[in-house]
Amino acid sequence: MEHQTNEQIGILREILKWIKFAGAKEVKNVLLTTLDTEQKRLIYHLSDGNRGTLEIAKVAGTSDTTVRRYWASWARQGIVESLKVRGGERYKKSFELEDFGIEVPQPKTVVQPSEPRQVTKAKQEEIK
Amino acid sequence: MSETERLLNDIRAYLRISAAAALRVVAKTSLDIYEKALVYSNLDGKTSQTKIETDTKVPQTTISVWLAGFVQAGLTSPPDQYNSSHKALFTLQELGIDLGMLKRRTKVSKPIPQPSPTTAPQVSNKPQESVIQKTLEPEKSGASNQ
Repeated sequence: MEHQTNEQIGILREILKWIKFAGAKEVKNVLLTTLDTEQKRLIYHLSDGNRGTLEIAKVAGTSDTTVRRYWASWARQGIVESLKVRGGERYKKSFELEDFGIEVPQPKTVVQPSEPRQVTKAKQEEIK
Repeated sequence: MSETERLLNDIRAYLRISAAAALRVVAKTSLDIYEKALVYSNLDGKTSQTKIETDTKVPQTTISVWLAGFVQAGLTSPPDQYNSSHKALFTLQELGIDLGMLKRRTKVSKPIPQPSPTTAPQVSNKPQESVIQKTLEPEKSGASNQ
């Protein structure tokens, strides 16, 4: 059973490799067209599914409403995926900008590396 | 998220973008007027054609013709065991369609039928006027917009 699962994962990796190869140009086009400002690129880069809108907005020097608006637009564009979290919904980037040679802008404030965190009641406001 | 789910998610993300890019030219032709794009944006796989007719004010018969065209163009999946109604495979944004930039549908009059001299009854001017009036009503088939 485990052998079969490993084999299936191996096949999926192989499929992904070829699909990435075939689709890289189109994905890069979409990313370049959609993320047409440094701020958008930074917000996209920070959207890792662990950070909330307030945290990203603070680092990018904008409002959480703007981050939420970008997320909604990018979801329609197919470059982020939604994640259900306690107290709301977050979005996670589907692609790494570095993989396409797109430079990630430096944040205005120091960014702590994000790690999956346990969401406490006190953090629920931040998630929103 | 398991390794399998992560890989499948990545595969889907790449495939969606590649497919949408490949269909952009077709989409520009198929979704060339505001009402068609509006109908397309309502195709969530659950909403019935009657409900879409109510929401968009486009006659159901016209919607039905348009949906067949969308399926043929590869933009929509027909009803199946998972979706009771047609489902848009992409968002308008993925297809590069801006709803606000599209022109609205113009109602095209059907040609006035010419009565055959052998079978046509003797008609006065009044019924003839009513025929003309009928051709100016909103069309039901929508085939002329294809």
